[in-house]
Amino acid sequence: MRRRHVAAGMMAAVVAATTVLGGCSGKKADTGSTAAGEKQTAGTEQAAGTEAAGDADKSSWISEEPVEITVMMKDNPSQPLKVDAPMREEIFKKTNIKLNVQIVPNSSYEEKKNIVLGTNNFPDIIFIPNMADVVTYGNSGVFEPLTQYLNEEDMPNLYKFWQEYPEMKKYLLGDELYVFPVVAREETANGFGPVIRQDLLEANNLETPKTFDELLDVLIKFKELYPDSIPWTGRKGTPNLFKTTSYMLGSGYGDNGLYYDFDEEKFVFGPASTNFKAVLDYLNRAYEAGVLDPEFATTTAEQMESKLSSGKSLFYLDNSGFGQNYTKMLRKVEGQENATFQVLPIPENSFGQRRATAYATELPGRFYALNAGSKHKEEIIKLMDWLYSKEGSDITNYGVEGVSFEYDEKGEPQFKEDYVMKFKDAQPSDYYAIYTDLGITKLDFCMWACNTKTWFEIQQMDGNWDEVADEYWKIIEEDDAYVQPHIFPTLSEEESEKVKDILVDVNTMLEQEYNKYIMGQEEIDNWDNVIKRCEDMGIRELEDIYNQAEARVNAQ
Amino acid sequence: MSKPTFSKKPQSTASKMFSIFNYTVLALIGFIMFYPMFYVFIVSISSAEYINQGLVTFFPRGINFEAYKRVFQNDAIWIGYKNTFLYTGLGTLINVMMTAMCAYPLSRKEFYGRGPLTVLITVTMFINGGMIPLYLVVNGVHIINTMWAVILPSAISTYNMIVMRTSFSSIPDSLIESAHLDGANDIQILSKIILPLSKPILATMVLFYAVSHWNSYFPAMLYLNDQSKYPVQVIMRDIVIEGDLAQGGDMSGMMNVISTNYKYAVIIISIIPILMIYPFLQKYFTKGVMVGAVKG
Amino acid sequence: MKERRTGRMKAPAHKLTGKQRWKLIQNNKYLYLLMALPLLYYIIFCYGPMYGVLISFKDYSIAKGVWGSEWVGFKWFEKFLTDPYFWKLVRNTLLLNIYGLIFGFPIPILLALMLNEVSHGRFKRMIQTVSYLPHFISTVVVCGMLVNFLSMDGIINQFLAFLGMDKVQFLMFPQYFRTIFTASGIWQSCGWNSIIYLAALTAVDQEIVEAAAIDGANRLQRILHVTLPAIAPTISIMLIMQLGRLMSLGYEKIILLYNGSTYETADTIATYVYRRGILSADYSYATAVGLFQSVVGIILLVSANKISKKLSETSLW
Repeated sequence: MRRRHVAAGMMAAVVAATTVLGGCSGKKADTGSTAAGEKQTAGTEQAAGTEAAGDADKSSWISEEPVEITVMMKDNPSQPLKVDAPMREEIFKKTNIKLNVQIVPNSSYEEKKNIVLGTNNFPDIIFIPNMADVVTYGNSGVFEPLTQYLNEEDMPNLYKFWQEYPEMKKYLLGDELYVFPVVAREETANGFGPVIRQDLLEANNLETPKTFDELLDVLIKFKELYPDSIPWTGRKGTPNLFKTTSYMLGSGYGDNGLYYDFDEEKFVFGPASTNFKAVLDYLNRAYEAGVLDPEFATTTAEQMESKLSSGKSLFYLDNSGFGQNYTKMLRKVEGQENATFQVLPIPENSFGQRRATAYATELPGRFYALNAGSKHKEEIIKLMDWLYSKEGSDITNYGVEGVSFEYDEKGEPQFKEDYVMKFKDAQPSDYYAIYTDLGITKLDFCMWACNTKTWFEIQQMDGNWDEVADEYWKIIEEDDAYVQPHIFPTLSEEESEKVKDILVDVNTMLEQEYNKYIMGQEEIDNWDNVIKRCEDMGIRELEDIYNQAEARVNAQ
Repeated sequence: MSKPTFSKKPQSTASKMFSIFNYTVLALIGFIMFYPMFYVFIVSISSAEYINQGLVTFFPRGINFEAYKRVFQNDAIWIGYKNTFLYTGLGTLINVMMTAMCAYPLSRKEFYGRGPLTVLITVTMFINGGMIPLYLVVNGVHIINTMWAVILPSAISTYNMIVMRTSFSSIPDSLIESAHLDGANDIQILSKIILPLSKPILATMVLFYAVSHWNSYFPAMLYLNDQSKYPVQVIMRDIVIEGDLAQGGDMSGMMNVISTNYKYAVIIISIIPILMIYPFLQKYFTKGVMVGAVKG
Repeated sequence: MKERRTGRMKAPAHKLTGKQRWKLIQNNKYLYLLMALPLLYYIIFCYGPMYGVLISFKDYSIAKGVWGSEWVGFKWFEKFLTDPYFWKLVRNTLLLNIYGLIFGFPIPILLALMLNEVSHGRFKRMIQTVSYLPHFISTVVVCGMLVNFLSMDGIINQFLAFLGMDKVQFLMFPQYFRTIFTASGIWQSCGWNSIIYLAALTAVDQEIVEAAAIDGANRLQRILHVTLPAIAPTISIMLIMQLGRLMSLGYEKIILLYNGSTYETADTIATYVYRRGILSADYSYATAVGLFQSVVGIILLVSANKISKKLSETSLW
């Protein structure tokens, strides 16, 4: 019995497999992404619904006939994207353009993007997370060049931003623009900043530190008072420690070490500058005093969170917004009901400067590119421009009028309280739950995008906004030490190849050196030798490449 | 099946010592293997403040099932499960068939050309053309965005095939010869003699293939475009690996929303179904299955 | 090997004439029929994309495609072979693999043999099932746990402190890396890898074991002289395949465990290529490095196979 079973199953499988293999060459399969020129058909079993937009106001319609456009987007674990989000339906109603989204997991986006771009198999619009992709793919002709549309007539709304933000010129590859840059709408930015246990400062009558040396003294005091604590912790190892601290301490460490120095007005490879010794010196003193986490080079984000929200660690220097989260978790611990993490006004460093980098408030570095082979270029250009308009932005940031928001007398969108209150206790947070539910803001398909604006409004409405948050944003706002991140100029293909060769070797060498200096196994003065080695490996050439590219853009 | 007779005899002291040693070491190994998964489980039902203080080591603290609730609120996970079961079931069936069909001829000495063929097949374990050419092939046979794109490109694991072939070679030739003399052809021999005699190795293959389908996310991510076709791992992996491998985010003060217990709940949920298949396969891992059959 | 009594033709060692060859194929036509689908699979999905290795000799530009990109000869190989870190990367890759081989290879066999000696059914099943569990925890999570367990107040340091020893920042010093990597690898995979041996053990003829027992062989002797030889072909094949992989090692686990301080022992070919790839996709270079690893792997495999054929008559082909 059983044997016959096996044989029968086997034959069936053989037949099935043969049909599959044989059949696939003949019939036209429903391929998701087709070669450029052919429109996307994925995930559209049901027709776009000709009458769906029915009796709506047609004044903002882009096309008489309903048009389907597919967008490849990057998912986000905090805000999972939804295919049928109300925002997309609303866009369809307003413009008669139906958006299909291909949602690619966050952690695999790079691979998928490279494959579909490399094989020219991507849908009408694709999310581009990084200008480096424009360098790689821009000249290959897969993206529609956009300068031709960048004028008062074709794209009035984008053109307005183009003139408003001259920095956008850095997105040009040669003379051509290949991407639609996302523009931030009324963004409040924080940045990397020192965050300390305010309650412990007060409890021990300690002055708010004004300089980094005073800060170190305070942390040493903490260590004396609470010998079991690890006063200062961080995450993701030494390079991230530099990324978060070194600009404040008078040097810098941007992407892979290179940063733009606003005081010197040029690109500098931080670790290869003499000012970097001040950073190493400071971290070394903190380490030797037992203040800096002895495991600074190996601590994971998870461990950092544990240490700070359990009372083990009392200070960190990273995204200062995390502190509010730690405060909430810490207050649940017995005996910590009054614990408060609060950001410090940026202290003065050993060069007498007060400086820090904020997150971008104007151009958040998110892009979308248009497939040069798309059949609906004309409609897409109109749609994209509409998304840069106030009406488009209101819908993509507030959702559906009458359901999730209403216009006030000034014509500004305001969330509706009954809608917002539904998400008051949502996990992981009220605003993310609303963003997910509607499919709105920066992480979804949004060109003129809110992030903090809507977040603040939601929390102020549902009561999740507290004093700590209020004070936090006040301190940030009043602090004049923060500067906007400098947008890196777009390099040519040869330049990026050169840069890569230099960076990989230099950073492999440097990463083996850093910890020795922080842990005091090497004298800080010996760092000059390391700088010398960087120079031998071509680090000045790398700086020149960027500074020349910067000059090139500025000359345009 | 009858137990070997000698085990019923009183054991010698040496044999007893051996047994004690053996059981002790295995129990220790068992504990080491078990603890981390146990830890994942207790963390998943503990509350964050206890986890952060490092108070969860052997018992859950502040027991709650919020994390599980949150996982199950995500509709995509249910659809993902359905897809995973389909891809795993069908995929494993095809894998085992194809592997047996490949392994059997390569185990036969009469198969002219088996040497060169084995070499050519082994080479594919080492050399592959990379992701882009493979994508073009999958695209070329028009199976992008279908479940076949997940199943067919990995229809045979060469490694498993060689394991199976090695196992087939150990079946006495005399059995095959006599079947031939009885007029059976090779397809009948494979299905009526070889496969029934190879239940342990078939069970191993089912286990290996099923688990690799279950854990696989990359082909699905690459070849499928509709979220409604994603297997559950594609959805869960993002949660589990969080930002650990990806470059840091650019969020303005956005908090870290993936808590440890949520992450661990996802792990538990994503592995429990696949762990369930083992007990069904276990009965095939029994001594003397083949020998008995040969005699019978 | 027993002399095989057979009326059918088998492939003899000497060269066949065309006619004989045809006869042989005809006699075994069903074998070829069975092989057809698997062969089709290998041709389409394995050999079909193989032209992709050409890009290791080209300056691959995505825009121009594999065929259109310019030939650059051995440029990428030269770049890799002359890299100042080349020898260190090769050494670390080889050593991590060799450690894995020396310690990681025998343990699943031992585990299978030990389980095989257990007569208590439920205990056996329990240990077996439990031993697979680590296989199901993804690398990211395993590494997260490792970092926790190895941290200053992790369980390992607590244990050391209990024994009156100093606490150690294990992940900060290069001398511990190989041990951590290898031990955790064994922990994660030994149960899973023992499955193959358990399956092979089911084929051991219990009568022979019994006969040996009656002849007065003790348990250890029975294992060494009866059981082990019976699964020797499986062990040889597994060993040969493992040797072929000596030059390759994935990057995922290493990048989660290493840091600048431990590059000395932890930086491998894969992690180095990975760091290059982060800056921008590096297809030609990565493919060239991959090809280099493959060629070394194939050479090792072929040599191991030759040796095995000489020593034990077991071979891959």
